[in-house]
Amino acid sequence: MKYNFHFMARRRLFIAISGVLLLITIVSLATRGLNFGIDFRGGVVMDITTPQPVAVSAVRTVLTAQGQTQAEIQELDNTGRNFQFRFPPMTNTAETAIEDALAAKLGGGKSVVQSVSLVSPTIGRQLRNHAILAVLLATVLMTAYLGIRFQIGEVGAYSGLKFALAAVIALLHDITLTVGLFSVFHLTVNSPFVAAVLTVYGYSMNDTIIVFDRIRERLQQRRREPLTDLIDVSVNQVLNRTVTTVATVLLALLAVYSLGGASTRDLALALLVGVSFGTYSSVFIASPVFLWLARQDGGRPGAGRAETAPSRRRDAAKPVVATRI
Amino acid sequence: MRRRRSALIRLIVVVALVLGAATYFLKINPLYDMIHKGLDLQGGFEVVYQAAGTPQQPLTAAALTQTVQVLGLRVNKLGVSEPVIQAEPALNRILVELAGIKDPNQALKTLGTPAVLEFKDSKGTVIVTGAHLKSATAEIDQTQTPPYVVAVSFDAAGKQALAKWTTANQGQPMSIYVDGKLLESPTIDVGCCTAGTAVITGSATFQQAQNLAIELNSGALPLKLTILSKDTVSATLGKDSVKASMTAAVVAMALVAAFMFLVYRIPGFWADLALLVYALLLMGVLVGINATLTLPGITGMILSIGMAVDSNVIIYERIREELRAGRALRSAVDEGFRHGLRAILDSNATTVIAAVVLYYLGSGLIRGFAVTVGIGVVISLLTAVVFTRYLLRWLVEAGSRPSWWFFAPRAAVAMAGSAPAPGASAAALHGFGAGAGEPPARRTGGRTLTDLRRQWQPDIPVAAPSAVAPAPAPAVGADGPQNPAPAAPAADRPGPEPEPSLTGATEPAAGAPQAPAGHRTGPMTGKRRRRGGKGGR
Repeated sequence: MKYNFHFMARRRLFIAISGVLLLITIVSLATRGLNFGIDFRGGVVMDITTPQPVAVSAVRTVLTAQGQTQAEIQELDNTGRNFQFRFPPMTNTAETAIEDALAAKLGGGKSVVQSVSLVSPTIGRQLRNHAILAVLLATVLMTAYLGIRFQIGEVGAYSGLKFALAAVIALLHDITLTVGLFSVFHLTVNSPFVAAVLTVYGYSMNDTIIVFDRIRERLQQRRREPLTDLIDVSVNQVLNRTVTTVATVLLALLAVYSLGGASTRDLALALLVGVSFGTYSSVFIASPVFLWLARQDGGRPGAGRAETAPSRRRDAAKPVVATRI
Repeated sequence: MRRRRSALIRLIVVVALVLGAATYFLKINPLYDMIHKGLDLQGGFEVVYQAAGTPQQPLTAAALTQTVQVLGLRVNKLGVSEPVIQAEPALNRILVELAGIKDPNQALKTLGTPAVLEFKDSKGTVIVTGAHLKSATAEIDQTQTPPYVVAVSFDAAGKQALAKWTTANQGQPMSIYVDGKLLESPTIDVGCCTAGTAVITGSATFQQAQNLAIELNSGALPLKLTILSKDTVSATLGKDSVKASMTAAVVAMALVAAFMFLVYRIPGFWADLALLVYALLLMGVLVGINATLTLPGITGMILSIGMAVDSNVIIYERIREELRAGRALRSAVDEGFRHGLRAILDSNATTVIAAVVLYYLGSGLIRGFAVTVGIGVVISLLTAVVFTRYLLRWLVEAGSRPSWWFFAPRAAVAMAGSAPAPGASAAALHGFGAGAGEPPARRTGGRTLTDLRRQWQPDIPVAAPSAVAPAPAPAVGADGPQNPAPAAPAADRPGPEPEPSLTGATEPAAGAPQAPAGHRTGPMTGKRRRRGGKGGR
């Protein structure tokens, strides 16, 4: 299938759309912040299943008797037997006492606890620092890799760096929007979220590189083609792949999201959103940004006036193949 | 003919082998069962301790290692099959993972409780306890046979008690109990006990002596441990998670496989086969390196299924492009792999970079995720690129031609043979690939007309792109009505070119009437193709 979309001609529209989304993200991050889970803040999350249905008030009474007035209680389904509690940070002794009290009052002496996760605030801080460090480190490494692999000297000096920079800007766009979604909808940010963000990172880069690889290939072969057209044709040529691949990845993730159980749902959601943004950005953000960067020092003939198409005579004289390169 | 047959035989053998291996490793002797599963999958308990020095024992690497050993001895009492006790020296942390444990709080208590060491006489009277033990070290003493001994030393009160007993009971046997359990027949040389030391002989090997020393020392942890985090998952929840995530994995694979088959037919089936090999290899490697599979790890696996077929998609799309450009099937397949590989390598390299960073900076569950994604990418190169390449090549050798089943749209192939009208065949191509979304009327009708007209009258005015609705609008009818404005470098656009009719690479069509003299791009076609073949320059 061949496509012929004028992506570059509409680049301002998409950059504007992304701009608006980024603005919403920034405003949301500034005003609402992120709903950090216990992995980041420290605290205790406990899932219980009682043998008999219990009223929330009865559960609350047990917890209050243990001095846990701050506890968040959430019913996990409508059976009245499955609950999740969230407590502020506490010692292991205090946590064990709660387990014992729950067993005595709700479980008839048997443990009702399905899972407990206790995290001290220190470890949470470290997790956050490591996550940020991971993103920075990966960015530097990827930029270096791309800078070397995409150095072709066709679009002015530092062409590799221009590709790399455009890819990284698209990446940051994707990550910011993924984080933004969690802020806007107040979803819990836990360590799987970090894994998700970093995977989105890899995927977005992956997707952008497929597009850039085609631009690189075409740049080396068609020295006189105006950059706008060249990028448009390249993006169109890989469009089948882009669509097919994102469809397979989204299909797989949808299966996880709907069937994978509660514990992986957040991870799958973050991946779903991130992968979608990653695909979008490789066409609508990375490519226009590269176009803009490549024009900065007029490294390529025709680059400066790509918006207005070249004369027809010249165009007709040029040997062209749309799909072969 | 012979070559064809041998290629066909090779194909059948490989397919049979793969299906056989899949049956064996998924049904008869499931690889999945052999993978070591994290506590979130089998239920269990994980605790992370922060180690701190005490006035007597500063925080050193050796002290940390010793603490891990002592914890290991305490864990042994719990009878857990595969306990994980790891020191993280950089952070002075110790991770303890006990899978499948019934009572996590009891386990935590056991971890925190020192072993009770007692020296008793034959009547069972306690002479001295571990509370007075200063140290126990394995040594080699050549005067003894075997020469492996454990030297123990006591504090002042312990010395006194021991000295008192030995002088009163010369020659009497003394036994050592740890947690009420008699140690295997150590003989105690108490000759020098007045100095507050004793030598325990009877160890057959130095390793044995060392273990005994550690066990004796386990009376007290050298370092102070505080709980940083704790995770408990009941076995039932673990089972539910496994069930849910396995269902998700199977459904995800089936969906992806069906999708690939729908989009690419036979090559799609090859990709599915490669995916099966991929899944088996990934599980095999996870078993081989004894990796721990966690829930995020399974999610990573499912994600990597989607990404593994990406390599196939990249290559297949490239092959289609090459065919469209008029290459013969065989060289189209080769070119598809050759060109696809560079893109695949570059994109996968960055994914591996992300996975490696994640592995080094992540902890616990996230590491499992990074491992599966990272290994998955490497394996997918093998299956999606190498494995599929051979399958496709053999299929070509076996005499396959481009057909609806094999890279080219059925209609285009048929038309190319019978009615080589460029517009019509282009329309057929369009109808095939554009896929589900478009109403058939629009596909063929609109397209044929516009295209036919443009083939012969390249200058008919078309709506300028700016007049067309924004973004998604061009998606419909792809290169149809809203073809580039006359001002745009139309020759370079895929749309108006006659090439679609060449799809299927059926040679008779190549020279057919779609290259009318005087057409803007027509006469160039043949030449261009040759140029392209040499790499375009």
